[in-house]
Amino acid sequence: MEQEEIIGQIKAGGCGRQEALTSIYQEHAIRKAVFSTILKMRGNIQDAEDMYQESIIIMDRNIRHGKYVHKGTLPAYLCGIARMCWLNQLRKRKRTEPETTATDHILKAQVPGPDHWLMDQERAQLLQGFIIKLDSRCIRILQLWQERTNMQDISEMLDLSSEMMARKLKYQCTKKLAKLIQEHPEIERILKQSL
Amino acid sequence: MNVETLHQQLDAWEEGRLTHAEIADLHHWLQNNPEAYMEQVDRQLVAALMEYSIAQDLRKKFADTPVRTISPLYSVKRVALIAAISLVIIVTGALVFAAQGGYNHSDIVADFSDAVAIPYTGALRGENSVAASSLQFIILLIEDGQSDLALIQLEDKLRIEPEQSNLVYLKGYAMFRNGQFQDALELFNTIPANDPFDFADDLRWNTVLCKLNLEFPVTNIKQDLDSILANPRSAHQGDAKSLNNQLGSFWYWMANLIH
Repeated sequence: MEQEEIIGQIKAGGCGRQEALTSIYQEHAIRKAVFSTILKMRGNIQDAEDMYQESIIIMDRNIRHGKYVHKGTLPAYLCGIARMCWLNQLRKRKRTEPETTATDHILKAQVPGPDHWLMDQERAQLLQGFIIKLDSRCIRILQLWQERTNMQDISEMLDLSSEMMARKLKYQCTKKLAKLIQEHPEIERILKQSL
Repeated sequence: MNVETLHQQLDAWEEGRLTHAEIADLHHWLQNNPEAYMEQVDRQLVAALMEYSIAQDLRKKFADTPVRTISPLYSVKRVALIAAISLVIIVTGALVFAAQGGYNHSDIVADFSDAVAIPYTGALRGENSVAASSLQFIILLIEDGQSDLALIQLEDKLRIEPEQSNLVYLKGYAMFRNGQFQDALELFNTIPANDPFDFADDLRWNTVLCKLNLEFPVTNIKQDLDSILANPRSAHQGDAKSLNNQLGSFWYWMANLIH
């Protein structure tokens, strides 16, 4: 799949986006490049796998939000993101393991890059627990909206009678979810930190 | 603008359906209406939660997606592969080196071609007897490449004195020079160790050279060499050390392997 095609499919959302992301995830050459980057920075195979997944997730988000301005290749872009994520990860580990010195030179040599989506385990579990409680239909429509899927497509995918109905459902779900978030200050705090 | 209309406007904005003027109006409305602003913040929180949810779904999907595994930089498999490749390179290099000029057997033989111990004669000790002169003459013949002629003269002498060990040694020496290493070796072996001329040290060395020329197994040659090296008074210590080193070298072993 060509780079432009991948970006186009991610922007369009829906099934095409899923296919594009899966194809990137399975692309051995890109995997190898990202893994090599992380392994050379003292990461292990599991770290490399995690960073690879995170870099695709961040790339997906950046493309959808129109923040993708990279002029080079996607592999290089993903390697850059993975590297940044890994440095953040190392910093977090450094904070929890003050005796560790093996990665000091790497941390000192790099400029920090923000990546607020790499949450710690505890916060991730809280959010996960919160999401599970929500109405799956609401989650689906809001996810599709967030993925920049066309409203007409959303109505078809969710078997709604019209685009208008989809918009109405989306509004109701947003309100419902916003209310639930307000009722859970811890969740609200975590989400505000990620903004 | 009621809340639902505000949401519709915000949706339209996110979808890029608003004109510049409409966007400006919307911004103005959000800035001057705290409730509308809070609605926008709520939308952002919902969006943040959805981003997290999307990321989680992707992680799950990736976990179920089959991919080609990638080995760690220093996995057992990779290290073994690197070691195997290195070994192949080293062995190939060594074989090429050995084939092109390492210590091969003929080189060593050539190195020691003139090292054979000349038999002891009275003439060399300054004796001026007819017998000593006669033996010295035979040696000169041998050195001159006329071993055949020397051998004829030696046969004549041995017919008269068959037990004379210096004659036997000289015959062996002539044969060695004549390239008859097996015959020379056999003759050297007939001379008793307690021979009155005390040829033992020279004989042992010449035996080594015969075996070297006959391409005896290295272990066999080394046994004789060891007995020379163990004798501090041996006149052949230097040569024996040098030969021992060459026979024990890796390159000689490699050269033997390919020849």
